[in-house]
Amino acid sequence: MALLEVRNLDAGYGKGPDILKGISLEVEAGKSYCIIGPNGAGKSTLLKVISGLLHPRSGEVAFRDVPFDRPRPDQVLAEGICFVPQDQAVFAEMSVKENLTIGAYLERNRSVIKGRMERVFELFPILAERASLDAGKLSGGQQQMLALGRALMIDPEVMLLDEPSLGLAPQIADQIFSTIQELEEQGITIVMVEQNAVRGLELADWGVVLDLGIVRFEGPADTILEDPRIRELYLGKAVTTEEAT
Amino acid sequence: MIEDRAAADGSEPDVIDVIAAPKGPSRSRWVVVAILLLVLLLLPLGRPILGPYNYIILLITNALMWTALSSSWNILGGYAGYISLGHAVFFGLGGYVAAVPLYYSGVSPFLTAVVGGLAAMALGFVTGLITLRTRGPAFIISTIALLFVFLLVFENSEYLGGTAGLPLPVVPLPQDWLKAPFFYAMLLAAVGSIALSYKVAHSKFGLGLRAIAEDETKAEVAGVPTRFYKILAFALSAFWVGFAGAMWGYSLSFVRPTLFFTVAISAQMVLMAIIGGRGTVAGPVVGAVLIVAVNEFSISQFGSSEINIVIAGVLLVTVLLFFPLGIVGTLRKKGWLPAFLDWD
Amino acid sequence: MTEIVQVVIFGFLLGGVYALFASGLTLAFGVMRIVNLAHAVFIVAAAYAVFFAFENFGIDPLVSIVFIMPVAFVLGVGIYVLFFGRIEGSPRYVEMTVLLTFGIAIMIEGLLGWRFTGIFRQAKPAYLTDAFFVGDFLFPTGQVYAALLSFVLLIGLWAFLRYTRTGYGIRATMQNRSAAQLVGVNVRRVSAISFGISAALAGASGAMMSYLFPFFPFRHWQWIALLLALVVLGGMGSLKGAVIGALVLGVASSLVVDQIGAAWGPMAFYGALFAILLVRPRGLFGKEVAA
Repeated sequence: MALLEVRNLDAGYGKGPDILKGISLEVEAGKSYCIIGPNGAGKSTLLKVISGLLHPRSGEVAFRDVPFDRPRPDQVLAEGICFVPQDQAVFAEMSVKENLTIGAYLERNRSVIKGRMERVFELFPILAERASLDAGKLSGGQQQMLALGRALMIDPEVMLLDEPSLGLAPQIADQIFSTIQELEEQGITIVMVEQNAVRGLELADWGVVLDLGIVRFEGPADTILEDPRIRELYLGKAVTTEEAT
Repeated sequence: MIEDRAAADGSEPDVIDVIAAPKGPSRSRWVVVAILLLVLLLLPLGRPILGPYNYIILLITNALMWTALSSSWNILGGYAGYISLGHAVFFGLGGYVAAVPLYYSGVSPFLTAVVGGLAAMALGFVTGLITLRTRGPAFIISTIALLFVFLLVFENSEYLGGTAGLPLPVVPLPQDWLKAPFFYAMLLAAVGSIALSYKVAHSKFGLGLRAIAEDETKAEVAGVPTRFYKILAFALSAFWVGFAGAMWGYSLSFVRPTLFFTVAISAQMVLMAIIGGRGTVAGPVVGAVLIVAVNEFSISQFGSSEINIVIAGVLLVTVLLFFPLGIVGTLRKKGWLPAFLDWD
Repeated sequence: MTEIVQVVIFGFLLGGVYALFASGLTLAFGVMRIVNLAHAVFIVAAAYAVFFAFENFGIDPLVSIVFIMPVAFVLGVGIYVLFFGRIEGSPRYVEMTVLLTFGIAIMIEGLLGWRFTGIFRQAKPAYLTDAFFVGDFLFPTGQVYAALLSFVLLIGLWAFLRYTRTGYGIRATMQNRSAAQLVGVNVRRVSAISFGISAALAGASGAMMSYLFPFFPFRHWQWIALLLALVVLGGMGSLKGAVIGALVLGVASSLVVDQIGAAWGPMAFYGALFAILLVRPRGLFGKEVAA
């Protein structure tokens, strides 16, 4: 049984047209998924619907086979599904430490919070160095680490990541990706939307190509990566990392 | 190989429904308007036929004035979505611009009313330069502040009569015809402001205002000169208000700060435009007529004016929560809008 | 020189009270983007309650704060749920709140006017006319009490926001509403609580108004104009800005009253408003205005 399921989802913004048209997806526990596709395909929209920020017009999202009914984002979080948005993910006027503390808003046990914060600092030592700095003063890569760290404070089962490497220099992006890999090894289910399709698919177990609001292709990530049509359409005349080096 | 689901699907993109073909200008609307205008023009001459002549004339003059005020307010508040809560400041300015020359030099306000309107426009333009630079609530707040600044200044100015204001000579006409010129003046104001509102609504300017109301950032990015348009709308929305203020002061035979520079007047304008239907041409008119009628009714029933105020507040809140498009807007949405109210 | 210092002292005492009056207003905007035009009428309504408690039962206005704040809190939450719950998330939300609170203000004003008529009221506890000296300088007792109490309440507010879990949630919502939702803050609940707090602050303000500033229903318009100008100066949504703005304007208006005339005090507020709109529209401590 899939951990998280999206069934026949239609969604859009305000009175606008449907961005997602009848999307269905199955996410299994402990695996990582990479969603790629052109701009406007609906990738971020899909994550927003799953996280409760946007409600579908028809269809449903189900977690452990129990469908959500117009949930608030905090209710979805309470189930263990954590969304790290593309931007505006951190509280710029709060310190790194406060950001992490509020990441654990739903957790009441002080010592548990403390323990998790220590783990986050182990994972991202640079955050430990900057613990009392205002989040707004961190570099882009550090803010992204903070966003991930904050998501971890709730000990999530599923992490929804919207473009984790956006705007980051290649080395920093690499760091982020390897962290995501580590998290997956620790058993967290990862669903990420990535503009950097090649890197994302290299990392993930399963790939999904979203285009014009439908799931156009899906399959094991390395198969997607190798498929010539998909490479032509979505990966540019581009390159495997081997060819690049 | 991975299956391509788009190819398998093969369905055509949905045909976009053609929006219902635009109606030609409805002849019947203009007929109704013509008849209405004719009746109004002849009304003051019908002294022998009408029963409580003074009362009727006064009531309709009132309704006409408020129509002018709310239609004018609508230009900025309805089309562009910038709420001016201090609009009474134009009313008062117009009132005094006409009153002062009358008081000190005997100049008839029938001549200076237009100057009152222009002065109001100038004030709107100058204030707009300062206060329409930002979006958000700062503008709204500044309009209230402006009103209170004027109140303060006028109350403390010897030359302008201070808190007691200026008493004005009565119109030099025989007793029977005292009210008539004001009737026609307000009729002019009402027609003028509705015509202005109509012209704005059907112009590129009006389209730009609506874009600003919906999403100012996008409008700016699309090339709409937002700041200029906003300031222009503010200035235009002031003209007939100033004119009406000039006439009203004369009809009362005095001007006084607390009577003119008061939030209550602004509140009425806002109320009428919103209840009638913000952003439509006919809405403010409907709202004005309705509220004047409701006020008359409630004064005759309850006497005291405090209940009036409560009723006004309840109406406003109810409309905002349940019928945000106002009467005209809601009727249009349901397709029940009679042709003579459909001017957009 | 002594005279100037005296005037500044009066200004500070006033400013402290203004800070409390404005704090609820700026909190509502900061958390919920509500421009509460009814804030001053809340204060006046509370002033009436405290006034009659004093006249009829002899309860000291400042003591009334203990009762009025919880009552106001509950009413505030109720008003939020009743009126604002419905329009959450609608387009042009800020504008809607302006109109909605405008309507609410008119309703309450009408009811107050109907029940209590338009005569000026002022509670007259003993400390209203008392004063004491520190060196050469006069300190009116009633104003000192009010300023001190404001200070205490504002510190309490700050501590609440800084150290409690709900306070965290409120601050997070103020800074970044969607991120707050994503960390599990129930922003709806937080908003209702914040509006309740805003109303409670208005309640305490009303207790002070009852004896410091003669009031009648229609008066609230003058107050809201002042408070809004203050909040814009300080930066909408910034508590720090409201406090500093209040102190600055308290002193400024006090100087204006002393030098130019009693009626002109409010001009300091309006002048500052237009000046800040020209120079730095977001206010001293405000964030960039988002549309």
